[in-house]
Amino acid sequence: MLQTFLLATLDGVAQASVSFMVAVGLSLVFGIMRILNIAHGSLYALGGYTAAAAGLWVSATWGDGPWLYLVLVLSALFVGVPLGALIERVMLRRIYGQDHTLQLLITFGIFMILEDIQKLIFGVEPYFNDAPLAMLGVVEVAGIYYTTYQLVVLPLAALATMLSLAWFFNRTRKGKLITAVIEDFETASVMGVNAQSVYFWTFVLGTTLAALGGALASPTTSLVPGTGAGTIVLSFAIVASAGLGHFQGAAVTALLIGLAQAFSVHFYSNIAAVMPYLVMTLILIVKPYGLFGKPEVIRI
Amino acid sequence: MNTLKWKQATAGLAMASLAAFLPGISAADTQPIRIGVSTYMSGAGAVFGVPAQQTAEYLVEQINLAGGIKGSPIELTFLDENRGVNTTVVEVRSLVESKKVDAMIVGLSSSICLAVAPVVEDLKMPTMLWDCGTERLFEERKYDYVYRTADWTPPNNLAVALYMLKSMPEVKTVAGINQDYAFGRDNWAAFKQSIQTLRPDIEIVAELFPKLGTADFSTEISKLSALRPDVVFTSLWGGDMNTFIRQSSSRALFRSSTLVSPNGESSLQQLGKSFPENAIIGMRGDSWALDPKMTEVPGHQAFIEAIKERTGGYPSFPSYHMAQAIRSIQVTLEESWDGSRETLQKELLAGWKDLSLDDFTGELALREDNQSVEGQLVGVTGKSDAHDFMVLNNLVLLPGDLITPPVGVKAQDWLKTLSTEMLEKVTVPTHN
Repeated sequence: MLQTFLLATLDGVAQASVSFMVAVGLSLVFGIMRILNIAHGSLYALGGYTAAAAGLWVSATWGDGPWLYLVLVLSALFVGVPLGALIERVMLRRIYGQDHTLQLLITFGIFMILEDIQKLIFGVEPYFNDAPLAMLGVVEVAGIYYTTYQLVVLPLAALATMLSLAWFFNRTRKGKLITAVIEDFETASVMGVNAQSVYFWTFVLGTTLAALGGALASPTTSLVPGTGAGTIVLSFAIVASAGLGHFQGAAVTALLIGLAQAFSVHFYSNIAAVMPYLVMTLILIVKPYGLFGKPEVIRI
Repeated sequence: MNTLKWKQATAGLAMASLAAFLPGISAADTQPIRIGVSTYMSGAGAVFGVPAQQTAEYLVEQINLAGGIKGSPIELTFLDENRGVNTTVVEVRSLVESKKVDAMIVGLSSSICLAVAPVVEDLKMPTMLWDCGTERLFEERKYDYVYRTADWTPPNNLAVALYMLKSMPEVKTVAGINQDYAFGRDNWAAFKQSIQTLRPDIEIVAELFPKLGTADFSTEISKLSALRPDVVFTSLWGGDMNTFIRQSSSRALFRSSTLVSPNGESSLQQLGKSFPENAIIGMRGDSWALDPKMTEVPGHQAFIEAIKERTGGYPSFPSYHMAQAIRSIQVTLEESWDGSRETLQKELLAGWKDLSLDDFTGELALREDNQSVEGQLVGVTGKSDAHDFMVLNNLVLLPGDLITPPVGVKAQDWLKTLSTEMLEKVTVPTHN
């Protein structure tokens, strides 16, 4: 029994790490821009595909080595920054402050376009490159082998992302400006904060985090058409459970959902597939604005 | 809906022009034979659906280049099953009611087949089910217009169960990991029932059903590793299968457990040397591109080369299944159709009634309940110097009439009545 508890906890933490990496970008974009970005999953998938393709090319050219981890990060930047900038400038800038339905439709349209672009570039066969995972080998815990990459690297990456974001929002000028816009958009604008610039950089940060999630997850999984759609659903569950816009909360709910899912697989696997949504439903029944959300006060 | 192929259109035009100069053939006779085909052209199912689509395009191109069937070229209209069951039903209905098709080839997904079959039956449209495997289709209703060339779930799983029990008589514990939808649950039900009937002493130690499209099987692998079953059975496919195998191999799951999969052949090429050795793998049919016995079969090498050129890999079961459906139309019409529009559908249905195929797609026969009886090829994975992926050794073709439930009997009921004498009829090399 003790062994099962230990395994379920480790599995839950490993699972939560990847989920958090993706959900945090979605949470950030909604928290600041009030846009629920359906295309977020596509950025995850494209980040993963690009990292796998680039990794395979680098491996074939220079062989396997520590540079493969750099390839993962660079791939995320290569996808997230230009695509984020393009989507924000060309599409989203036109719909700020508009009805949420319109925003959903526009981002859904972007999602469909990106899915087809992905199919056009990478085809429909499963794509993967597990060299970064294989290079670090396995560790044995309670008689069971775990890959070092999933047990150590991914949780550390998630932790580093969370700490970096906390530092950015609390310690840097740009971060404080973004926080000001979140707290009170109108007052921040009156005080001279360039909201357009804040929106632009927030969205680029969000898309880059999605691409980073995909890139870091790519050594562990096969990338296939539909990867983006699957990811966005789980991310929504995490973000909604935390309270839309609370990225620190997303870390907590990602962990809760990851652990709940892992424990259900070990103890009662029939409900494992619905566990994220069960957790989300329970949280929202008790706290309708999410674990860390607060009712929005509208002053008339 | 996606009508394709300028090549087909060109061939059609060429045929029409030719017909204008040939006495005795009217313009109406050279109208194309219009076939609607549903497959997954997007989403996770596209890993199977697109190669099948490319196979259909290739075969139709060949037929049209050779002058069509009785002078009529074939024209294909594709539907994307990824749009969902309801949309596919609406699109099929629209195609049929607007008289844009003469026959349909339907169903990579069992849910699509279950929904579309009653509709095309009511519309009296000759329809061939090309890939879906659920046994429920013909157990729940009798059809006059719907046939199935595809092999189906109970024979697939009984075949690998027999192979496993014969080659690994020492097996004591089995765990299953299958996707949480009809295909995964049906496969597990058939395999589990087969082994429980034939070897009631075998203990089922885990039944896992991760959702379709799971990106991370870490938790399931931890559980399986802790349980250390003798056999891990899975019907996972596509990206899910690849992810599961790679993660399991990284974590040494198959050092203590043998992998058994009724449909695993489709992942061999994609996984290269990551696929575990000594796994028991089914083909979902009797055709395998690298089967030495098929080397001399006319047209097989040309088929392999063409599919390799188009898909980048050796044909796997989706290509063979689609080829069987196309061939079922080609063979039937070539044999008995007089070339008249009025008799096309009637002759097609009459020909399907007693259809048997024995060509580069393998051997099958349609029986009185409109389903196929087809042998199942099963083998064991091993390394090969000739290929950079695992190949199958110790191949055994389990005869279709041994492993297929009789007409009119529910598959699960039949599996409960299996006798251990069935094991005596199967000769399998001992597992290493």
